[in-house]
Amino acid sequence: MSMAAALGGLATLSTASGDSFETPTPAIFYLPIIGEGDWAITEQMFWGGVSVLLLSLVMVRLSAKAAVVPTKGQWMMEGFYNFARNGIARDMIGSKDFLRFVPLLFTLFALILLNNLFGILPPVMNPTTGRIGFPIAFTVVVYVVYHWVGISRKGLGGYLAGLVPPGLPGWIKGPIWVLEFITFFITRPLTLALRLFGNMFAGHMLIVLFVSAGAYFLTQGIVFQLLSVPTFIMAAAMVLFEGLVQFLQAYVFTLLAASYIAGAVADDH
Amino acid sequence: MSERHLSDAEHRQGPSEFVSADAMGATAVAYLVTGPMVFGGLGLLADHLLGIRGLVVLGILGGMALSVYTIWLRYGMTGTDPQGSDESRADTTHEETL
Repeated sequence: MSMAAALGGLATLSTASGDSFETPTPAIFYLPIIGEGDWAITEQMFWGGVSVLLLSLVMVRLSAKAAVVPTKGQWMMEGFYNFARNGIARDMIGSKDFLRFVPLLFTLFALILLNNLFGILPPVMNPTTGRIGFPIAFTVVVYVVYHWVGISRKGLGGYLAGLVPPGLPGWIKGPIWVLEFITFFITRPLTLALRLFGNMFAGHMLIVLFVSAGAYFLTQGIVFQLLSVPTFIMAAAMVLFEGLVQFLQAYVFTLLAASYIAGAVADDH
Repeated sequence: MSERHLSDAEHRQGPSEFVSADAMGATAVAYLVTGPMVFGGLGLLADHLLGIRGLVVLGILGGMALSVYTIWLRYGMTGTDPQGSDESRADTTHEETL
């Protein structure tokens, strides 16, 4: 990150004496509460659990007394639900098969959205999806579902044979099948998990960079104290920008999951 | 609360164009990464086993060509409205919709 390096270099130059500015490293994502190392219970795990409880409570509460004339809460809840049901599941999978995937897709969307938004929501201020384990877990669910659906619908042989688009000359079928197979079974799930992780990780790093640089400038001379003002403004802008990215990434993840399922349920030509 | 009772037509606008493009990009990138990697890898293996050089380059380029061809094959020549109606989506495969 050249900007980070430049900022770090600038700060280091400014303080021949005293402590220098340390740019945030990926270590800021490792927040163990209990234990050490790979098996530690981390803050992200705690907040991930809280997100499940919170979403369950809110949704059960808002849907328990569902009425024809809804309360404001029920109305908002239904709008949110319809966004995932119609805007993602039905539009991607088609009106014939989409209903049984709505619970999965809606759950994914709501859970990923809240866990992303934790990145800008006090008191958490850390996106739980910025830890690679969370995107991997979400992706594993999607992976099992779309392959399971495809195999149970077409049989293992039919599913694997259906990876190649029909109507191709024979000599090219082999290489294309290899390409499709690796894409379906390895690259797609990999990119699905990595794009969510990468977006959340990088966004959080940027916010922490601007906030910590601004805070550091405050401890320096008057010129740097003035510099901290635009730095904090940038931090605020990044928080707003991250809010948008967090929503979009939850949306894109669910949309891609729906499109993979759509590919698995699609009838052969 | 008339907003609750949007007609079906209003619900059938499809996912946001911006987000669909992003998703399409992810799908294309998956192919573009896979082709050169797999066939470049096979070329490397063949080079190693046969004790020659150059097949790795052929594999990378061939894999890239194959990726581009597959993307074009699946997504490039549908000729249908990408924001088509729900009915048309229902009987098309994901190849045409994303």
